[in-house]
Amino acid sequence: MICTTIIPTVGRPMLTRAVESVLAQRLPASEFEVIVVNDSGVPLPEADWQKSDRVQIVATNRRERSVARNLGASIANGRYLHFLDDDDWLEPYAYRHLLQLSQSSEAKWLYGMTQLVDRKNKPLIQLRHGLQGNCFMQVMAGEWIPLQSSWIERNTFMKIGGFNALLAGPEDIDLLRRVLLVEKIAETRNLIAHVIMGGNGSTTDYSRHPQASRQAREQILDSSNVFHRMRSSALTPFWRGRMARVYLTSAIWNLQRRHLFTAASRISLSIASILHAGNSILAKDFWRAISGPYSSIAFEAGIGEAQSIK
Amino acid sequence: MAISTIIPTIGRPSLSAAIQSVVDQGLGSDEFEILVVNDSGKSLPPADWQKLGNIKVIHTNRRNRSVARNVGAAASHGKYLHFLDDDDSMLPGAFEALLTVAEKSKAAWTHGAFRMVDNSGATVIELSPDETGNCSIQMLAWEWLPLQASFITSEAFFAVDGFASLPSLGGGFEDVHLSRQISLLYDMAHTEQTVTTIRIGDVGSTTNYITMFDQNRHSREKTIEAHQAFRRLVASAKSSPSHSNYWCGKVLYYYMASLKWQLQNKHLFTAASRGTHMLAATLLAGSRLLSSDFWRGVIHPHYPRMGRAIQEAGADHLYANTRRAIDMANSKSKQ
Repeated sequence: MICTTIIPTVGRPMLTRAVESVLAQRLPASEFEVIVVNDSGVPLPEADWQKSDRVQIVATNRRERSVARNLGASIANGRYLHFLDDDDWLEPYAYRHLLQLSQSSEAKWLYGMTQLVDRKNKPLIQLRHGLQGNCFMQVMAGEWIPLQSSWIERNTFMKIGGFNALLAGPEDIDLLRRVLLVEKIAETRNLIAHVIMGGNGSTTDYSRHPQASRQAREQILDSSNVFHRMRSSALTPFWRGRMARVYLTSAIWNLQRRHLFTAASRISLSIASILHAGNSILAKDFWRAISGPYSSIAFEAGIGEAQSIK
Repeated sequence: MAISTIIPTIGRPSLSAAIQSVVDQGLGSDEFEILVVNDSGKSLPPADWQKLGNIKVIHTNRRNRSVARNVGAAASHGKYLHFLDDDDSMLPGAFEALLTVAEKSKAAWTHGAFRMVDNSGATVIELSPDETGNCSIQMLAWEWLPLQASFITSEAFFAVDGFASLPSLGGGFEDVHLSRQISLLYDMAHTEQTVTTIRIGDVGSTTNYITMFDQNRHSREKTIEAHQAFRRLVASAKSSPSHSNYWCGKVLYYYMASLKWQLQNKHLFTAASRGTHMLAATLLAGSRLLSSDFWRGVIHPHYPRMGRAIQEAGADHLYANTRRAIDMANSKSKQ
């Protein structure tokens, strides 16, 4: 079996659209399965898709979203895992495109384009990320790829321990970072998923987001091989500047919390990043990257495109 | 619902007896549930217990034990989680004894006395651990509280994200690691009643005894680097009712061991941080520095009661496979 789709649900009515968009994929039936993790604490209302022998429903009891997703991954049979939300849906040929990509690429995280829509399903912007190969630096800086448009190899997912359920909110970008710390990524330039934007009714805890996000990044910076991996994915003056900035901002954060030895370690690594940057430090981009906060290139490009159409 | 018993199984026939021992506890069917996580990759043979209402079977597909247990926990409803193995069983009255203490003490981890039996069912040793309150230093020292004999609150379990399913810890050490993580945040309680029998030995077990020592090292480092670990460890050593000098020495011992390890791995800043904590542990010890127990803790490795009891009972041969594997690993590293 090539793919297992895992859909955690809190019982929203759009679930039917999500499941049906998977069942409609143009792939042989034996090649994929759907696991719906019902985290609502009550039984799901009856629906036609529940009769499909490709769908399995498991119940969890109002846990974090990550716990539900990890459970789905634990019982999955597919070579790749695909995490969909109950209010998002797939393009009919999505899995075909990802399957083709998997045949030509050894990357463990495969993805395509995402169409963001508002709560009335009106298209907002399209995300084309352009990340290929070792992109650890880019995702450390803040580039992010929606899970809905991604296939993640199951063995890799299990090896790194799955989602960190202690992070409510940034667990998806945290997973992406931990995968890219050891593995590569590959992109297909086809539309994969439609994803609803907006906080209303979402299970993401936005109030804890910045704090959790920082803690997640600190944990990754504590892992081994981070410096080397960032260096080998920071190939332009801009990204070399971002690398130094990652260590500098972490040093400040640790100083504020009186983690003096960690701060000292981060400062020495930021100096090492600047020394390793070589000629890059003569470029304007390097200093621009070091001095300013990051805004996602994929988002900006998408917004620019949407405005030019209007 | 009060209790969720989670039984991962690789399809051993003793599963039915394990389940029966839980059903026989005499609790009402709305007070407990059993989640059997079938990790054998095959369907289970039909059995009578499958007709019971509050037993659920979930299939995982040949993952490690931690994954299977986490799956059971995620699907559970109980206030307390109880992890049983498919070749162990609970003794009559166990749930009542554990539940009473757990409810009264409000502890996150409540444990009871246990009996270890060999493959023929004969008792080899019987132990009654007495860890109560903040026991983080004892957990760090590899004192072992069997999951079979423990009730863990669901709240505490999820506060540490369940069993770590990392390969570096996934071979039998996950229970000790869990107790270390939980003891950093929560307190423990115990009952002297014998609650379970556990099969002893390394024949036919899914535990990977060969990598146990590496796992212990990884787990210890992960525990020490946690926020507030030092404060919690010192408080736990000082609160030990009869051996506080010894345990205060042990705090110093583990920071020293970590310092050595971090230096070997060239993590200089982390090593420096451990050095500072060693200094702090020495200063905080105060007049304890004059006691010989303190220095015994600092110098000698800790022998957990489990190992001592097995030795005293002359049951070393039950771990012959492990012994052989360790000897082999040692002779290889010497060459």
